[in-house]
Amino acid sequence: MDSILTAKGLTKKYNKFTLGELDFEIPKGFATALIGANGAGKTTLIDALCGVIRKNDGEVTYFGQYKDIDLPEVREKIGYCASSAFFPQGWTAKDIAMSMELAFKSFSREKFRSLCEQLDVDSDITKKPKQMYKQSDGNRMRTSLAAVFARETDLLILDEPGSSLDPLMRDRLCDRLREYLDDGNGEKSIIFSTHNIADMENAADYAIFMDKGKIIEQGFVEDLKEKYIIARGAAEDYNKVKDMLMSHSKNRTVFDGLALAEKAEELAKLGVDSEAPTLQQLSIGLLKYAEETR
Amino acid sequence: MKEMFRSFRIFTGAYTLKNTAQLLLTFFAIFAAMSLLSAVPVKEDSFAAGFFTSFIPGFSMFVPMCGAFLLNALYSYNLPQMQGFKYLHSIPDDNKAFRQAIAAANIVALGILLITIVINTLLFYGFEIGTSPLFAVFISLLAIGVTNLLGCTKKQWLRFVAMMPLLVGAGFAFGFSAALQENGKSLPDYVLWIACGISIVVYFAGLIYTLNKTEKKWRRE
Repeated sequence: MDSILTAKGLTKKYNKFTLGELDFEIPKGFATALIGANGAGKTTLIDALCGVIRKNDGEVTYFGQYKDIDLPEVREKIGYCASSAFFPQGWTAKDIAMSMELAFKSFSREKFRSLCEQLDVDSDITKKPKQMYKQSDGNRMRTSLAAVFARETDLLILDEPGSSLDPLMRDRLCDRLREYLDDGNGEKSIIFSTHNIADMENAADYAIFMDKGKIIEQGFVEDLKEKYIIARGAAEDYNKVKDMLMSHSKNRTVFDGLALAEKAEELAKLGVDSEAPTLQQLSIGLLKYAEETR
Repeated sequence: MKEMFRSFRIFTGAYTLKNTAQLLLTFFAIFAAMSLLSAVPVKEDSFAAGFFTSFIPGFSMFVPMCGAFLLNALYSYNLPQMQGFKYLHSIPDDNKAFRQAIAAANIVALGILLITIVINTLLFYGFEIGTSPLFAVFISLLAIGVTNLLGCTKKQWLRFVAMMPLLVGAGFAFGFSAALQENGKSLPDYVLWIACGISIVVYFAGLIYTLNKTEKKWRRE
């Protein structure tokens, strides 16, 4: 697998939280989803990868050759966008365009304007552009995304890009991410974090699951869907199969749970059906399992 | 110089520049209006004349402090809780750009001070503005110096606590001087000259400190 980014022993320590040590590879030409509950360390990881915060230990290799995020050529290639509070609150689209044009060589004002129009937000030619603090979270996020997409990059790193967006806009974002990858012909990649994978399921090719600063599972989504199954059965059958389930949810009539695919035959003998999980079901199952086994 | 102001615009966009320019134009318009009013018969009115001569110095001390406020706004982008922190820490050569932006902001701050002194002196030549230009120099250079020295501290309250006495002290110092004059006394000239000397030292200490340490302080955590 060609990697766009490789991390070995990546660690970041705070008083009450430690990220790492993390070892992972991000495949080139694909969209990788960082999935975890609130407080899992997704934002800390993204910030450390983008150089916004300093890691305490470990090594990260970018684009197969660069080991230093502070190199201008590395930062030019990475399109980073944090939450809706990414730009200074008093700035308008005009200020964003001015600043980014000076900071990044490949930023295009024309592309920014066009994207703002498509996303229905203020652009730098709007007669009375609104400052960020006067706009909704959704508008701020759309403006920030327009700014990052207006650059020529090889790697997009987006922190919770869908969290402030409505379902329709999230769907459009997924389309835009797919367009970005298709335009790159296998040379462009995306990393995005989310705690709600349901709406971003179509965008993810590779997934890294995190819990309390650690990686609990990672792999191509299709491979993970073959590795795990969702078992579903009548509530009275639950006790027969509970030892085979990694995590479960149950009510008076039915139960379902995550299990390894190799258990499918055994489960079937006990009268319990199984099927391939969606990414949403996989996320919930794995995160629950991590929580219960801490 | 070009690089410095390029970096300044990366950190301020058009917002701060425009707002600072608008604020300064407003101030200078007030100065100009005051000087026009002082030229008409109202000059004969002792109340009006007294108002202008006491208001203008206080006002002219406040205006150059806008330079310190501008610097403060830039330094605040080094606080993780500020919006814009992540964007500005993700641009290429972010630490160098920040250092250059701070250097440019210092030039702007000094420029505001000089312009204020010149306008103050020219517009109100012949009025008893007394030592207000010196007060402006003293307070502003001290404020800029303190802002540079404490700019990259993680403790925002420390910057606030350091600036408050300067904001309050300007009014106190001027009021004290005015009260002395009322009683036919005055502060010895050398007191103000010494104060200006101290503020010049603080200003240069702050400037040297920030130009040497800012790049490293920008990248921390």
